[in-house]
Amino acid sequence: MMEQVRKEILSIRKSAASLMEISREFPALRRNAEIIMIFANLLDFISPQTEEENARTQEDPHGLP
Amino acid sequence: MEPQYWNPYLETLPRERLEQIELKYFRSLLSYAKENSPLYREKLKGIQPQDIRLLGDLHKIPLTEKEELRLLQEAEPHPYGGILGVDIQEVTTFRQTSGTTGKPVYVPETYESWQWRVEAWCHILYMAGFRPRHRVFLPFGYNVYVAFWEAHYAAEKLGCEVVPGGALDTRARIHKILEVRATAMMCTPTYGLHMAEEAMGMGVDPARLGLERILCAGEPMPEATRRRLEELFQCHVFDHIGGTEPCGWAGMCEQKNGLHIIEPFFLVEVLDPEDPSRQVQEGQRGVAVVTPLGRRSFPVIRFKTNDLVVKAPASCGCGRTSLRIQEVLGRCDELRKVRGVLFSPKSVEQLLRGEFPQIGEYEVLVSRPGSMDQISLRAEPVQGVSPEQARALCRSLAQKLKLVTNLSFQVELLPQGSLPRYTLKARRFRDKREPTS
Repeated sequence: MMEQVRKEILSIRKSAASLMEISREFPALRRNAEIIMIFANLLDFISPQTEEENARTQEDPHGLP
Repeated sequence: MEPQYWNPYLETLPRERLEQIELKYFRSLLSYAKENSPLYREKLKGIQPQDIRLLGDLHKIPLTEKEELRLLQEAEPHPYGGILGVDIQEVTTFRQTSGTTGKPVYVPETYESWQWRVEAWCHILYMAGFRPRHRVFLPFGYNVYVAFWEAHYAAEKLGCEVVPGGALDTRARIHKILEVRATAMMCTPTYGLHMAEEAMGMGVDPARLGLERILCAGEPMPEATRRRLEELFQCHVFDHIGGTEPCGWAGMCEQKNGLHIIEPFFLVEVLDPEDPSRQVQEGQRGVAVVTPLGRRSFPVIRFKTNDLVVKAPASCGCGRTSLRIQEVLGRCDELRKVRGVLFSPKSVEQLLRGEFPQIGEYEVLVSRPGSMDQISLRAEPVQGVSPEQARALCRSLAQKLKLVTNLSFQVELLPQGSLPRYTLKARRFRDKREPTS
Protein backbone atom coordinates (compact mmCIF):
# COMPACT_ATOMS: atom_id res chain seq x y z
CA MET A 1 0.00 0.00 0.00
CA MET A 2 2.75 2.50 0.91
CA GLU A 3 4.29 2.22 -2.54
CA GLN A 4 0.95 3.22 -4.06
CA VAL A 5 0.67 6.07 -1.54
CA ARG A 6 4.05 7.40 -2.57
CA LYS A 7 3.12 7.24 -6.25
CA GLU A 8 0.04 9.35 -5.52
CA ILE A 9 2.14 11.85 -3.54
CA LEU A 10 4.52 12.16 -6.47
CA SER A 11 1.63 12.88 -8.75
CA ILE A 12 0.32 15.58 -6.34
CA ARG A 13 3.80 17.11 -6.30
CA LYS A 14 3.95 17.25 -10.06
CA SER A 15 0.52 18.90 -10.28
CA ALA A 16 1.36 21.41 -7.55
CA ALA A 17 4.66 22.32 -9.22
CA SER A 18 2.95 22.75 -12.54
CA LEU A 19 0.23 24.95 -10.99
CA MET A 20 2.88 27.08 -9.29
CA GLU A 21 4.66 27.52 -12.58
CA ILE A 22 1.64 28.63 -14.58
CA SER A 23 0.20 30.89 -11.85
CA ARG A 24 3.11 33.27 -11.26
CA GLU A 25 0.93 36.32 -11.93
CA PHE A 26 -2.08 34.95 -10.03
CA PRO A 27 -1.40 35.17 -6.27
CA ALA A 28 -4.45 33.22 -5.14
CA LEU A 29 -3.74 30.28 -7.42
CA ARG A 30 -0.04 30.40 -6.71
CA ARG A 31 -0.35 30.44 -2.94
CA ASN A 32 -2.89 27.66 -2.91
CA ALA A 33 -0.62 25.61 -5.16
CA GLU A 34 2.27 26.30 -2.76
CA ILE A 35 0.11 25.09 0.10
CA ILE A 36 -0.68 21.91 -1.82
CA MET A 37 3.08 21.44 -2.19
CA ILE A 38 3.55 22.01 1.54
CA PHE A 39 1.06 19.27 2.29
CA ALA A 40 2.73 17.03 -0.29
CA ASN A 41 5.97 17.48 1.64
CA LEU A 42 4.15 16.59 4.84
CA LEU A 43 2.63 13.52 3.18
CA ASP A 44 6.14 12.55 2.16
CA PHE A 45 7.38 12.92 5.71
CA ILE A 46 4.63 10.77 7.21
CA SER A 47 4.91 7.98 4.66
CA PRO A 48 8.63 7.37 4.41
CA GLN A 49 10.02 5.18 1.69
CA THR A 50 9.53 1.45 1.81
CA GLU A 51 12.64 -0.68 2.09
CA GLU A 52 12.60 -1.48 -1.64
CA GLU A 53 12.34 2.19 -2.54
CA ASN A 54 15.05 2.96 -0.05
CA ALA A 55 17.33 0.44 -1.71
CA ARG A 56 16.70 2.08 -5.07
CA THR A 57 17.84 5.49 -3.77
CA GLN A 58 20.94 4.32 -1.96
CA GLU A 59 23.11 6.61 -4.08
CA ASP A 60 21.75 9.60 -2.15
CA PRO A 61 21.14 8.39 1.40
CA HIS A 62 21.12 11.93 2.81
CA GLY A 63 18.55 13.34 0.42
CA LEU A 64 15.81 15.48 1.92
CA PRO A 65 12.80 13.44 3.04
CA MET B 1 -14.84 0.51 13.56
CA GLU B 2 -12.62 3.55 13.81
CA PRO B 3 -8.88 3.13 13.23
CA GLN B 4 -6.86 2.62 16.38
CA TYR B 5 -3.94 4.76 15.25
CA TRP B 6 -3.64 8.17 13.62
CA ASN B 7 -0.82 6.88 11.41
CA PRO B 8 -1.06 3.06 11.45
CA TYR B 9 2.06 2.76 9.29
CA LEU B 10 4.44 4.85 11.40
CA GLU B 11 3.02 3.93 14.78
CA THR B 12 3.51 0.19 14.35
CA LEU B 13 6.74 0.05 12.37
CA PRO B 14 9.35 -2.37 13.74
CA ARG B 15 11.96 -0.50 15.81
CA GLU B 16 14.74 -1.25 13.38
CA ARG B 17 12.83 0.34 10.52
CA LEU B 18 11.85 3.37 12.58
CA GLU B 19 15.45 3.92 13.53
CA GLN B 20 16.55 3.70 9.90
CA ILE B 21 14.05 6.39 9.00
CA GLU B 22 15.12 8.58 11.90
CA LEU B 23 18.75 8.24 10.97
CA LYS B 24 17.97 9.23 7.41
CA TYR B 25 15.91 12.23 8.56
CA PHE B 26 18.60 13.22 11.03
CA ARG B 27 21.33 13.22 8.37
CA SER B 28 19.09 15.18 6.08
CA LEU B 29 18.51 17.75 8.83
CA LEU B 30 22.26 18.03 9.44
CA SER B 31 22.87 18.75 5.75
CA TYR B 32 20.13 21.32 5.70
CA ALA B 33 21.17 23.04 8.93
CA LYS B 34 24.84 23.23 7.93
CA GLU B 35 23.82 25.01 4.77
CA ASN B 36 21.01 27.23 6.00
CA SER B 37 21.34 27.95 9.72
CA PRO B 38 24.08 30.35 10.89
CA LEU B 39 23.97 28.61 14.27
CA TYR B 40 24.74 25.19 12.84
CA ARG B 41 27.05 26.41 10.09
CA GLU B 42 29.38 27.26 12.94
CA LYS B 43 28.44 24.52 15.37
CA LEU B 44 28.71 21.65 12.90
CA LYS B 45 32.03 22.67 11.35
CA GLY B 46 34.05 19.55 10.64
CA ILE B 47 31.05 17.24 11.03
CA GLN B 48 29.57 15.57 7.96
CA PRO B 49 26.17 13.83 7.80
CA GLN B 50 27.89 10.61 6.78
CA ASP B 51 29.78 10.69 10.11
CA ILE B 52 26.47 9.67 11.69
CA ARG B 53 26.23 6.06 10.60
CA LEU B 54 24.28 4.79 13.62
CA LEU B 55 22.14 6.34 16.32
CA GLY B 56 25.04 5.51 18.63
CA ASP B 57 27.05 8.16 16.76
CA LEU B 58 24.78 11.00 17.87
CA HIS B 59 27.14 11.96 20.68
CA LYS B 60 29.51 13.30 17.99
CA ILE B 61 27.09 16.19 17.52
CA PRO B 62 27.25 18.87 20.22
CA LEU B 63 24.14 19.53 22.30
CA THR B 64 22.18 22.74 21.74
CA GLU B 65 21.28 24.76 24.83
CA LYS B 66 18.68 27.46 25.24
CA GLU B 67 21.32 30.02 26.16
CA GLU B 68 22.99 29.62 22.73
CA LEU B 69 19.69 30.38 21.04
CA ARG B 70 19.26 33.51 23.15
CA LEU B 71 22.73 34.78 22.30
CA LEU B 72 22.38 34.15 18.58
CA GLN B 73 19.08 35.99 18.44
CA GLU B 74 20.93 39.24 19.04
CA ALA B 75 22.11 39.10 15.40
CA GLU B 76 20.15 40.09 12.30
CA PRO B 77 17.56 39.48 10.95
CA HIS B 78 15.56 40.75 13.88
CA PRO B 79 14.12 39.12 16.00
CA TYR B 80 15.39 35.62 15.16
CA GLY B 81 19.02 36.31 14.32
CA GLY B 82 21.23 33.31 13.69
CA ILE B 83 18.72 30.61 14.55
CA LEU B 84 16.62 31.20 11.45
CA GLY B 85 16.83 28.40 8.92
CA VAL B 86 14.87 29.99 6.07
CA ASP B 87 14.52 33.36 4.37
CA ILE B 88 12.68 35.63 6.81
CA GLN B 89 10.06 36.30 4.11
CA GLU B 90 8.93 32.71 4.52
CA VAL B 91 8.11 33.10 8.22
CA THR B 92 4.36 33.17 8.80
CA THR B 93 4.06 32.76 12.58
CA PHE B 94 5.85 34.22 15.57
CA ARG B 95 5.92 32.41 18.91
CA GLN B 96 8.13 32.81 21.94
CA THR B 97 9.08 30.94 25.07
CA SER B 98 7.72 32.11 28.40
CA GLY B 99 11.04 33.55 29.53
CA THR B 100 10.80 31.85 32.94
CA THR B 101 14.53 31.10 32.92
CA GLY B 102 15.78 34.23 31.15
CA LYS B 103 15.21 36.24 28.00
CA PRO B 104 12.51 34.63 25.84
CA VAL B 105 13.53 32.69 22.74
CA TYR B 106 11.66 33.82 19.63
CA VAL B 107 10.54 30.94 17.46
CA PRO B 108 9.96 31.42 13.73
CA GLU B 109 7.56 29.10 11.94
CA THR B 110 6.81 28.93 8.25
CA TYR B 111 3.45 27.72 7.03
CA GLU B 112 5.15 24.38 6.38
CA SER B 113 6.90 24.03 9.72
CA TRP B 114 3.72 25.00 11.52
CA GLN B 115 1.75 22.32 9.69
CA TRP B 116 4.46 19.87 10.63
CA ARG B 117 4.07 20.77 14.30
CA VAL B 118 0.30 20.45 14.00
CA GLU B 119 0.64 16.99 12.45
CA ALA B 120 2.81 15.88 15.36
CA TRP B 121 0.16 17.19 17.74
CA CYS B 122 -2.53 15.22 15.89
CA HIS B 123 -0.71 12.10 17.10
CA ILE B 124 -0.93 13.36 20.69
CA LEU B 125 -4.65 14.08 20.44
CA TYR B 126 -5.61 10.91 18.58
CA MET B 127 -3.62 8.82 21.03
CA ALA B 128 -5.59 10.45 23.86
CA GLY B 129 -8.83 9.42 22.20
CA PHE B 130 -9.82 12.76 20.66
CA ARG B 131 -12.07 12.13 17.66
CA PRO B 132 -14.19 14.18 15.25
CA ARG B 133 -17.23 13.63 17.49
CA HIS B 134 -15.70 15.71 20.27
CA ARG B 135 -16.50 19.33 20.96
CA VAL B 136 -13.26 20.59 22.49
CA PHE B 137 -13.22 23.50 24.90
CA LEU B 138 -9.96 25.44 25.25
CA PRO B 139 -10.14 27.61 28.35
CA PHE B 140 -7.27 29.93 27.38
CA GLY B 141 -6.64 33.14 25.55
CA TYR B 142 -3.72 32.18 23.33
CA ASN B 143 -1.15 34.85 22.61
CA VAL B 144 2.56 35.09 21.83
CA TYR B 145 3.25 31.80 23.58
CA VAL B 146 2.85 28.55 21.75
CA ALA B 147 0.57 27.09 24.42
CA PHE B 148 -2.66 25.75 23.01
CA TRP B 149 -2.18 27.10 19.48
CA GLU B 150 -0.97 23.71 18.26
CA ALA B 151 -3.71 22.04 20.27
CA HIS B 152 -6.33 24.21 18.58
CA TYR B 153 -5.04 23.63 15.05
CA ALA B 154 -4.52 19.90 15.62
CA ALA B 155 -8.01 19.42 17.06
CA GLU B 156 -9.44 21.18 14.01
CA LYS B 157 -7.34 19.03 11.71
CA LEU B 158 -8.59 15.90 13.43
CA GLY B 159 -12.10 17.08 12.72
CA CYS B 160 -13.10 18.06 16.24
CA GLU B 161 -15.22 21.14 16.84
CA VAL B 162 -13.09 23.65 18.76
CA VAL B 163 -14.61 26.15 21.19
CA PRO B 164 -12.02 28.82 22.05
CA GLY B 165 -12.71 29.89 25.61
CA GLY B 166 -10.28 32.77 26.01
CA ALA B 167 -11.26 36.19 27.41
CA LEU B 168 -13.75 34.61 29.81
CA ASP B 169 -13.30 34.16 33.53
CA THR B 170 -13.39 30.66 34.99
CA ARG B 171 -17.05 30.84 35.98
CA ALA B 172 -18.04 32.01 32.52
CA ARG B 173 -16.02 29.16 31.05
CA ILE B 174 -17.86 26.65 33.22
CA HIS B 175 -21.17 28.10 32.04
CA LYS B 176 -19.94 27.92 28.44
CA ILE B 177 -18.91 24.26 28.78
CA LEU B 178 -22.40 23.48 30.04
CA GLU B 179 -24.07 25.70 27.45
CA VAL B 180 -22.35 24.21 24.39
CA ARG B 181 -22.11 20.72 25.96
CA ALA B 182 -18.38 20.44 25.40
CA THR B 183 -17.15 16.87 25.60
CA ALA B 184 -13.40 17.40 25.79
CA MET B 185 -11.01 20.00 27.13
CA MET B 186 -7.32 20.86 27.18
CA CYS B 187 -5.76 22.73 30.08
CA THR B 188 -2.85 22.81 32.47
CA PRO B 189 -3.27 20.42 35.43
CA THR B 190 -3.23 23.45 37.70
CA TYR B 191 -6.07 25.07 35.83
CA GLY B 192 -8.06 21.82 35.78
CA LEU B 193 -7.90 21.69 39.59
CA HIS B 194 -8.78 25.36 39.81
CA MET B 195 -11.74 24.91 37.50
CA ALA B 196 -13.01 22.00 39.60
CA GLU B 197 -12.72 24.15 42.73
CA GLU B 198 -14.59 27.02 41.07
CA ALA B 199 -17.29 24.69 39.79
CA MET B 200 -17.84 23.31 43.27
CA GLY B 201 -18.02 26.87 44.57
CA MET B 202 -20.80 27.50 42.05
CA GLY B 203 -22.63 24.39 43.25
CA VAL B 204 -21.73 22.49 40.07
CA ASP B 205 -20.22 19.04 40.44
CA PRO B 206 -17.27 18.97 37.97
CA ALA B 207 -18.30 15.41 37.10
CA ARG B 208 -21.57 16.84 35.73
CA LEU B 209 -19.85 19.11 33.21
CA GLY B 210 -20.09 16.28 30.69
CA LEU B 211 -16.42 16.14 29.77
CA GLU B 212 -15.25 12.77 28.46
CA ARG B 213 -11.59 13.61 28.00
CA ILE B 214 -9.07 16.13 29.22
CA LEU B 215 -5.60 16.54 27.78
CA CYS B 216 -3.18 18.33 30.06
CA ALA B 217 -0.34 20.51 28.91
CA GLY B 218 2.13 23.06 30.16
CA GLU B 219 3.40 21.49 33.38
CA PRO B 220 4.75 18.16 34.56
CA MET B 221 1.78 16.24 35.96
CA PRO B 222 2.39 13.67 38.70
CA GLU B 223 0.28 10.52 38.37
CA ALA B 224 -1.54 11.45 41.58
CA THR B 225 -2.65 14.76 40.04
CA ARG B 226 -3.84 12.99 36.88
CA ARG B 227 -5.90 10.59 39.00
CA ARG B 228 -7.26 13.44 41.09
CA LEU B 229 -8.45 15.19 37.94
CA GLU B 230 -10.04 11.95 36.73
CA GLU B 231 -11.90 11.61 40.03
CA LEU B 232 -13.06 15.21 40.04
CA PHE B 233 -14.23 15.33 36.43
CA GLN B 234 -15.09 11.60 36.18
CA CYS B 235 -13.43 11.43 32.79
CA HIS B 236 -10.22 10.26 31.12
CA VAL B 237 -7.25 12.53 31.72
CA PHE B 238 -4.11 12.36 29.60
CA ASP B 239 -0.72 13.97 29.69
CA HIS B 240 1.81 14.95 27.06
CA ILE B 241 5.34 16.40 26.93
CA GLY B 242 6.43 19.31 24.84
CA GLY B 243 8.01 22.71 24.71
CA THR B 244 8.18 25.75 22.51
CA GLU B 245 11.54 24.99 20.89
CA PRO B 246 11.17 21.23 20.34
CA CYS B 247 7.31 21.13 19.91
CA GLY B 248 5.01 18.57 21.59
CA TRP B 249 7.09 15.40 21.37
CA ALA B 250 5.36 12.68 23.42
CA GLY B 251 1.80 11.72 24.23
CA MET B 252 -0.16 9.34 26.45
CA CYS B 253 -2.22 6.49 25.01
CA GLU B 254 -5.33 4.83 26.45
CA GLN B 255 -3.14 2.56 28.59
CA LYS B 256 -2.17 5.67 30.61
CA ASN B 257 1.17 4.15 31.45
CA GLY B 258 3.94 6.49 30.37
CA LEU B 259 4.20 8.55 27.21
CA HIS B 260 4.96 7.58 23.62
CA ILE B 261 7.57 9.57 21.74
CA ILE B 262 6.11 10.78 18.46
CA GLU B 263 8.43 8.98 16.09
CA PRO B 264 9.86 9.65 13.55
CA PHE B 265 8.94 13.30 14.05
CA PHE B 266 11.34 13.48 16.96
CA LEU B 267 14.58 11.81 17.79
CA VAL B 268 14.74 11.68 21.58
CA GLU B 269 17.71 10.73 23.69
CA VAL B 270 17.63 10.40 27.46
CA LEU B 271 21.10 11.30 28.67
CA ASP B 272 22.84 10.71 31.94
CA PRO B 273 22.80 14.05 33.80
CA GLU B 274 26.32 13.36 35.08
CA ASP B 275 27.75 12.09 31.79
CA PRO B 276 25.87 13.49 28.77
CA SER B 277 27.83 11.30 26.36
CA ARG B 278 25.90 8.30 27.72
CA GLN B 279 22.24 7.34 27.23
CA VAL B 280 20.53 5.95 30.32
CA GLN B 281 18.97 2.48 30.49
CA GLU B 282 15.27 1.72 30.76
CA GLY B 283 13.98 2.61 34.21
CA GLN B 284 16.70 5.20 34.80
CA ARG B 285 16.27 8.92 34.91
CA GLY B 286 18.00 11.36 32.61
CA VAL B 287 17.70 14.59 30.70
CA ALA B 288 15.58 14.56 27.55
CA VAL B 289 17.43 15.75 24.46
CA VAL B 290 15.15 16.27 21.49
CA THR B 291 15.71 16.77 17.76
CA PRO B 292 12.63 17.71 15.74
CA LEU B 293 13.38 15.94 12.47
CA GLY B 294 11.24 17.77 9.95
CA ARG B 295 11.35 21.45 10.80
CA ARG B 296 13.41 23.73 8.58
CA SER B 297 12.40 27.21 9.78
CA PHE B 298 14.18 26.79 13.10
CA PRO B 299 16.43 23.76 13.04
CA VAL B 300 17.31 22.58 16.51
CA ILE B 301 19.61 19.61 16.75
CA ARG B 302 20.01 17.72 20.01
CA PHE B 303 18.19 20.35 22.03
CA LYS B 304 18.70 19.94 25.76
CA THR B 305 15.22 20.38 27.16
CA ASN B 306 16.22 20.27 30.82
CA ASP B 307 13.23 17.98 31.38
CA LEU B 308 14.22 15.25 33.78
CA VAL B 309 12.48 12.06 32.66
CA VAL B 310 12.48 8.33 33.30
CA LYS B 311 13.07 6.12 30.27
CA ALA B 312 10.50 3.33 29.81
CA PRO B 313 10.53 0.09 27.79
CA ALA B 314 9.25 0.54 24.22
CA SER B 315 6.60 -2.18 24.43
CA CYS B 316 3.10 -1.03 25.32
CA GLY B 317 -0.26 -2.77 25.42
CA CYS B 318 -1.57 -0.37 22.78
CA GLY B 319 0.66 -1.94 20.13
CA ARG B 320 2.61 1.20 19.26
CA THR B 321 6.30 0.54 18.77
CA SER B 322 7.62 3.97 19.66
CA LEU B 323 10.06 4.55 22.49
CA ARG B 324 8.46 5.70 25.71
CA ILE B 325 9.00 7.96 28.65
CA GLN B 326 7.71 6.56 31.93
CA GLU B 327 7.29 9.93 33.60
CA VAL B 328 8.49 13.49 33.73
CA LEU B 329 10.13 14.16 37.07
CA GLY B 330 10.33 17.91 36.57
CA ARG B 331 12.77 20.47 35.34
CA CYS B 332 16.47 20.01 36.05
CA ASP B 333 16.58 23.68 37.00
CA GLU B 334 13.87 23.09 39.63
CA LEU B 335 15.92 20.54 41.50
CA ARG B 336 17.47 22.10 44.59
CA LYS B 337 19.86 21.08 47.28
CA VAL B 338 18.18 21.83 50.58
CA ARG B 339 20.31 21.10 53.63
CA GLY B 340 22.41 18.90 51.39
CA VAL B 341 19.43 16.84 50.21
CA LEU B 342 18.40 16.86 46.53
CA PHE B 343 14.81 18.09 46.52
CA SER B 344 12.26 18.01 43.68
CA PRO B 345 9.10 20.12 44.15
CA LYS B 346 7.20 17.49 42.20
CA SER B 347 7.52 15.05 45.09
CA VAL B 348 5.38 17.39 47.22
CA GLU B 349 2.69 17.61 44.56
CA GLN B 350 2.69 13.83 44.16
CA LEU B 351 2.16 13.42 47.90
CA LEU B 352 -0.50 16.10 48.33
CA ARG B 353 -2.58 15.10 45.31
CA GLY B 354 -2.27 11.42 46.11
CA GLU B 355 -2.77 11.30 49.86
CA PHE B 356 -4.21 14.61 51.01
CA PRO B 357 -7.37 15.33 49.02
CA GLN B 358 -8.33 17.77 51.79
CA ILE B 359 -5.54 20.11 50.60
CA GLY B 360 -6.29 22.50 47.75
CA GLU B 361 -3.78 25.17 46.77
CA TYR B 362 -0.32 25.17 48.32
CA GLU B 363 3.18 26.55 48.00
CA VAL B 364 6.63 25.42 49.02
CA LEU B 365 9.19 27.97 50.18
CA VAL B 366 12.88 27.49 50.73
CA SER B 367 14.70 30.19 52.63
CA ARG B 368 17.82 30.68 54.70
CA PRO B 369 16.94 32.91 57.63
CA GLY B 370 20.26 32.24 59.39
CA SER B 371 22.93 29.77 58.48
CA MET B 372 20.53 26.88 57.88
CA ASP B 373 18.14 26.24 55.00
CA GLN B 374 14.51 26.16 55.97
CA ILE B 375 11.75 24.55 53.93
CA SER B 376 8.09 25.20 54.53
CA LEU B 377 4.74 24.17 53.13
CA ARG B 378 1.88 26.67 53.21
CA ALA B 379 -1.37 24.96 52.30
CA GLU B 380 -5.07 25.70 52.09
CA PRO B 381 -7.55 23.02 53.18
CA VAL B 382 -10.44 22.79 50.71
CA GLN B 383 -12.94 23.14 53.55
CA GLY B 384 -12.72 24.85 56.91
CA VAL B 385 -11.08 22.78 59.66
CA SER B 386 -11.27 23.08 63.43
CA PRO B 387 -8.07 24.07 65.33
CA GLU B 388 -7.74 20.49 66.51
CA GLN B 389 -8.14 19.08 62.99
CA ALA B 390 -5.64 21.64 61.72
CA ARG B 391 -3.02 20.55 64.25
CA ALA B 392 -3.53 16.89 63.33
CA LEU B 393 -3.34 17.68 59.62
CA CYS B 394 -0.12 19.68 60.08
CA ARG B 395 1.44 16.81 62.01
CA SER B 396 0.44 14.26 59.41
CA LEU B 397 1.70 16.46 56.54
CA ALA B 398 5.05 17.03 58.23
CA GLN B 399 5.49 13.30 58.89
CA LYS B 400 4.68 12.26 55.34
CA LEU B 401 6.81 15.03 53.83
CA LYS B 402 9.73 13.88 55.92
CA LEU B 403 9.26 10.32 54.65
CA VAL B 404 9.00 11.37 51.02
CA THR B 405 11.67 14.08 50.85
CA ASN B 406 13.90 13.34 53.82
CA LEU B 407 13.47 16.97 54.85
CA SER B 408 11.74 18.46 57.90
CA PHE B 409 9.08 20.87 56.71
CA GLN B 410 7.45 23.64 58.64
CA VAL B 411 3.78 23.27 57.81
CA GLU B 412 1.30 26.11 57.98
CA LEU B 413 -2.38 25.95 57.09
CA LEU B 414 -3.93 29.07 55.60
CA PRO B 415 -7.55 30.15 55.14
CA GLN B 416 -9.11 29.38 51.76
CA GLY B 417 -8.29 31.95 49.08
CA SER B 418 -5.03 33.12 50.72
CA LEU B 419 -2.72 31.78 48.03
CA PRO B 420 -2.59 32.88 44.40
CA ARG B 421 -4.53 30.89 41.80
CA TYR B 422 -2.87 30.11 38.50
CA THR B 423 -4.48 29.84 35.11
CA LEU B 424 -1.51 28.62 33.11
CA LYS B 425 1.70 27.41 34.72
CA ALA B 426 1.69 27.29 38.50
CA ARG B 427 4.56 28.73 40.50
CA ARG B 428 4.14 26.83 43.70
CA PHE B 429 7.81 26.58 44.47
CA ARG B 430 9.95 29.54 45.51
CA ASP B 431 13.57 29.45 46.51
CA LYS B 432 14.11 32.65 48.43
CA ARG B 433 17.81 31.91 48.80
CA GLU B 434 18.29 33.00 45.19
CA PRO B 435 18.15 36.66 44.24
CA THR B 436 16.09 35.88 41.11
CA SER B 437 13.37 33.84 42.80
